[in-house]
Amino acid sequence: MTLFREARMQTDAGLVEECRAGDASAFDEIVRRYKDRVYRVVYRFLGNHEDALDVAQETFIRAYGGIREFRGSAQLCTWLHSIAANLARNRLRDGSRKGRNQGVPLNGMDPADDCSPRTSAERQELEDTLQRCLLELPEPYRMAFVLRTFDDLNYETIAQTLGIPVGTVKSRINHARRLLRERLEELAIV
Amino acid sequence: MNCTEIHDEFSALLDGELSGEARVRIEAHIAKCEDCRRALDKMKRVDAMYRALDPLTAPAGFEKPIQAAIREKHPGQVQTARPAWRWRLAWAAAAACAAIVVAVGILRREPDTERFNVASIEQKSEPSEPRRIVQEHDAGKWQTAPTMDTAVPMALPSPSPTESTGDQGPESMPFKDLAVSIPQQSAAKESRKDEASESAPIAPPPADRESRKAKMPASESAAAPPPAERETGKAKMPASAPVTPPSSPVEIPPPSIAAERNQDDLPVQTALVPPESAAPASVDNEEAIDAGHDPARKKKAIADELVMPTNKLGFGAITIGSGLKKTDKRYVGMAAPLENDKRDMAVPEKTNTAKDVSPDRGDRKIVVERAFLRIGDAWVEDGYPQDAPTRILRRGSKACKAFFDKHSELKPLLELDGRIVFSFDKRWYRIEPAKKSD
Repeated sequence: MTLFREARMQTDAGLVEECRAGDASAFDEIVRRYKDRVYRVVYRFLGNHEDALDVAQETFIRAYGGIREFRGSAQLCTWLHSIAANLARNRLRDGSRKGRNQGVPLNGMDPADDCSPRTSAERQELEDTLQRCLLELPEPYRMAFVLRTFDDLNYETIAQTLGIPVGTVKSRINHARRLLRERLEELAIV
Repeated sequence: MNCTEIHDEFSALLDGELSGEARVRIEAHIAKCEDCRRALDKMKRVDAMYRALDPLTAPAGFEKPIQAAIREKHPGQVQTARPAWRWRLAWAAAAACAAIVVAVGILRREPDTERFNVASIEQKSEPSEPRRIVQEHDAGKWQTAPTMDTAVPMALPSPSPTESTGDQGPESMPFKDLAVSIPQQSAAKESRKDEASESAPIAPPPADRESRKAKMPASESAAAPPPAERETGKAKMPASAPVTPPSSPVEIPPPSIAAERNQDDLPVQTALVPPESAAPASVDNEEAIDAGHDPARKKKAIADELVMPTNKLGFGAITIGSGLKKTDKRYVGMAAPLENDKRDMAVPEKTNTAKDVSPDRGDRKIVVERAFLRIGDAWVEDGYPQDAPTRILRRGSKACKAFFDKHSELKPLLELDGRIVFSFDKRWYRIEPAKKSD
């Protein structure tokens, strides 16, 4: 690998250029670099590993097919998250129709059922509870909150990813946190 | 701002998305409002809990379905990563190209290199022992052969007894002894000049050179270009610069020829500056030059030069004429004979102006796979080290016949006219013309 190519492979723009030039290894690098972030966001949004895996992989497949149209005006991660968000929303709607990804209603959770709060499964239960609470959020709030909390995107980037104004992002995230706080207060978690 | 408006800004406050003024205002409110402060603390805990969730990573084998799907959907676009052998192949091709370029460059330089090999005769002896090559003028005046640094007139070093006599006798004397046989015209050596011509090295060692430069009269310095000029091949002899005789008869600057050779074999102008002691005033015409030649003395000099000690005579300096390219610099030092003998050959004692010297031209020949350079009337094999003793073979002599009968492969050398200096079996031989029967 030449130094020049090596240097290009360090940046997202260089990776995209190499990928456009037909270098499959460049796209492999893109996948390697962003797979965890995409998968994490999709999973937190969908709450299901199987669907999250499908959506995340489909995200990269779609990205490969459209990388020649990617103009680079946005960041590569923004572009990937945008694809993932659309696919995840579509999957969520499809799942809703199929009865999947309903999650456990927060109302159905009874903290008293947690008979072993101090057991080794305590942490896992908390995580499940938090994930269920998250899945109870309305989809627009949820996606904004997920992108902010699990991928640490700023409001501007989230706005670009979702194609909404920054103010809307702020509002959605604030609503999501308030709803979660209220739910978790009900569950006596906070 | 009331508490509801403050609560709407909690997320922006937590995420650092508030401007300075808004943040100050909200923080001021929170500091005073217990309910808002408690609500903000809970929101911070909720956010911290979600951030503390397991940082999920994509499962192993995540890429495989992607690659498979891409190959399936875009079969013509997918390229595998460039394998290592392709890089090796590319490097090998690049190396081959570089080798070809170098080879072509060497081949294209071959003519120059061949031409330059002869010049290396001079260069090999620099600077510890300057090269001494001679020319013999057919009118009986020995001309100096060019060296790399002979543009500066110098006094001659005294010959050592071993040099002058040689352990091997007259049949084994350095070729430098051929160098010059110029009738000494100084008063101190007047008595000897008709009996023998003395030879001397054209250029003394650098150490001597420096000391002699200091002793050099101003006019000599003016006649000889500075070394820098000689190196660039731009040095020019003043058109009619007379050479001032040296102040001391002991320090006789030798006439020397610094010949430069044009890359394209263009005529190179050289100017011979005769030894100041040997030069009378100035010679402006050919007749005057010829008048200075004594055929009888010449014959005597030729006959005696083989046995005469060397380094006794002084020589003038040669400066390089114009018409040279900068690229000719690498040919400086190429020994070249004077092409037109009487007309072009400068006679030391007669020639004291640049216009008396005509352009000089060297010839080369390859005989028996050896490169020979024409120096005066001699063909000198490339690589001849100065002061190397030479075994003399006179044409027509029994020894010469026996030698070439024994080494018949060298017989083509005899086709060269004039003197021949060549090496054989780690020895240097010199073929001399046959003695003329009176």
